[in-house]
Amino acid sequence: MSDYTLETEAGRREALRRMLLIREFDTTAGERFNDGDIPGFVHLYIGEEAVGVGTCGALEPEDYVASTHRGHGHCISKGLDPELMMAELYGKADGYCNGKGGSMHIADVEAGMLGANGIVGAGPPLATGAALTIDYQDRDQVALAFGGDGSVAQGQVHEAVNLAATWDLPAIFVIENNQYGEATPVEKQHNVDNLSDTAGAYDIPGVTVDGMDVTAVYEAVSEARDRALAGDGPTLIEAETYRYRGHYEGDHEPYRDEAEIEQWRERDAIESFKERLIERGELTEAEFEEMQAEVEETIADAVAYAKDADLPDPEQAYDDMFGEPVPEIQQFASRPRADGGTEGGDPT
Amino acid sequence: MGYIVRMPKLGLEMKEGTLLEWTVAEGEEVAEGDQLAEIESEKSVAEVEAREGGVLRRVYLEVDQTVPPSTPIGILAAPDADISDLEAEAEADLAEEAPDVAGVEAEAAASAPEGGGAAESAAASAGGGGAAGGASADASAGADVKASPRAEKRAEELGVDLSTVEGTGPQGAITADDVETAAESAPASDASTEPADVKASPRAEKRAEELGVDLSTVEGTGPQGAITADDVEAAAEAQETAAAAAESAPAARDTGEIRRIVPDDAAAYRHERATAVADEAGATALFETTEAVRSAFEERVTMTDVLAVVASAALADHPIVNATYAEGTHQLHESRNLALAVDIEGEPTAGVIPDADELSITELVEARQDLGGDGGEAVPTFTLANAGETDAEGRLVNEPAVAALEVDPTGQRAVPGNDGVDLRPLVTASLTYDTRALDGADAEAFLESFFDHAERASELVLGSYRGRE
Repeated sequence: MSDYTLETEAGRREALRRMLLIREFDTTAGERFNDGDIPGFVHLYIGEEAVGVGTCGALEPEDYVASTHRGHGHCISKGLDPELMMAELYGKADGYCNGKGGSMHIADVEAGMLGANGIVGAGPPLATGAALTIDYQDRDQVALAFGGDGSVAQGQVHEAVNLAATWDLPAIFVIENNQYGEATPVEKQHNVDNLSDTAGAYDIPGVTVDGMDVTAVYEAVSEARDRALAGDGPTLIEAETYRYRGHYEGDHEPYRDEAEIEQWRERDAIESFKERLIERGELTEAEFEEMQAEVEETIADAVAYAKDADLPDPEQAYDDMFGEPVPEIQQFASRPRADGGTEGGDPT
Repeated sequence: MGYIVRMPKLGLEMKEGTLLEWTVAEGEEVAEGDQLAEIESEKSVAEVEAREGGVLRRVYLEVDQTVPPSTPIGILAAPDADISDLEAEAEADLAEEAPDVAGVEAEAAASAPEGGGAAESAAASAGGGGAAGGASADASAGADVKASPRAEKRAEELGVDLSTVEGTGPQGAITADDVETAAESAPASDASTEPADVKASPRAEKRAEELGVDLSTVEGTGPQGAITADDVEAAAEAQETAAAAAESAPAARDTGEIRRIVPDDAAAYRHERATAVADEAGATALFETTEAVRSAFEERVTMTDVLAVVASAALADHPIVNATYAEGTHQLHESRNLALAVDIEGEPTAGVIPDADELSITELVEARQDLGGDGGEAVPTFTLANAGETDAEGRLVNEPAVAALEVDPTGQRAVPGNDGVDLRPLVTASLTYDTRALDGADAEAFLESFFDHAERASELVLGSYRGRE
């Protein structure tokens, strides 16, 4: 079984803990970016936690996930280590990609995380490819791609879904409709009422679920997984959700107002799931607070770890680029460095 | 807990931010999520929110001061928390990260920082200064209306004249709330401020913006009288015809526009500049030809005239440079209508010499001297400036022409000579070109050709003299 499932009490508590972990991770990542600690860009998942956690709760550890530019939540849902993730955000050698990927490129193929991705709609082709591998090798796994609402209009997403549908591949496509493609409201990007309507074009099942409800997401993905494993092909799931933060940190968000954010916050996925567990007698307020404190400590530790970790050696810039050593690159890499050597230095 | 409040980094490109307002005073209590301050960066305004509840214990930045992102601007902590560690960290960062802030602060405190004491004294005075920050009326320009950018934005949205609004913010600055209050109390009669509801398709709206058509003047032929993109295009054409008719009266052309742009200008993105230096033969030829023509035939000749002849010859080799660009079309022209640019009190001004290639040097001189007159309505196809007569900054553009050449013959180059060092003339030429029509290779080829022709400037000038007189 997955390392958590929403079928059991312990699994539901773990799901809640992961949602909290995602929120704390991204809140902290935003603050660290804000204070200038983190190079590059961060796109935060705050508000959308139920989609990642509900989805990955329905997957097995060996299943593949292809993520998006807003990928921290997917990574944590898939069980990646917040310390190594934070180290990657800080560009440190201990990070998942040795500090060379950063926020938008966290990958851990061993853990089934095929990678976050800076290209809109680049996840589905990866998932279709992984699903083809699974199908070819006749393994009991599925490959799932996350994509945003904007990605639905991308040509490569159409190609990926079409191929997976035509070949009945064990793939699942989860569209996180967070209502805005960067700054463009979803209704100004698409001509369909629900993005899952596009499934009709491929003659595959398409469902729209409440992406603020972790259980609803879990159930939809579980069903899709069963279908994929049975050889009945892919499913397209649209999860209606909302990001509380801007498209990126520093986004001035002229396209929406505070009232709209507040409206979605009232349906907050963590808050409502917590209330549900308390109602069912599976959690107490005190236990929740303890959970929250633990999560805060985990993330504080992750930041401390990332801050202390070493930067990669400059020579590592040439590592992991080619499967086989390339003589020209080797030669280039072995040349004296501009910061230390005299080569190409000041002609005077 | 408690933490150092820093100038937030908003996006990837932010270089620095300016504090517009502390929305809470030092010592005031806030809850998590409350606004602490308002900052401005690259013309946009953002709020700094409290990450936790507490008291704004320290303030390191005064209103209107600008610092790079991540510079400490204050400390937020519980009222009784020990913040000495946070203070030490913030002060160390201040000393390290923002020497200019420290400098400014130190100056304000009239205490010359010395050696290692700079950090403490700067930080201490920063803290002290910040306390008084809200009140230390900084004797800013009196007539200026003081309003937060957010207030300015609201005022624009609501059509409120800021000079009529009473400010309740720090130092009597107008806040967004003040503007809203003023808008409410204003006579609610001005219906004209409300934009008439125009029904138009999104494509039509886009075309209207592109073509500069006011949608409220367009008649719609689409469903329910909605304006379609075709309607907009028809309206734009009608507008143009009308404009062309109106233009028979000598009014300022809105297409032909000579000006200087600096790389920060919005227009700069489509104008690049290529520069080349004449080799000695070319440079010498330009000077010698000018001198020779002056002494032999025509005293009124200046180097500008010689440059015009040379440029004209280079244009003959590169017809794509003798062109205009408008409405997506790179239009080559047969006639070389040469705009000669001069800077009058720093403002570039150009007069057009139509068909400059067909003029003899004498006619060219006369045309040049006559430029101040009626000017004529010829659209320039190329612009030439003798930078020796100007000292203006920025790239010269003269739309719709696709290229402007500035030649600077005033330079000097030192070369080893018999008695030490000889000074030789150094001529540089810069071609600013419209990247929609030309690329860097075109520009370089043109410059090369220009200098090739410069070497035989005397032949060209004599040819123009003898061939036509």
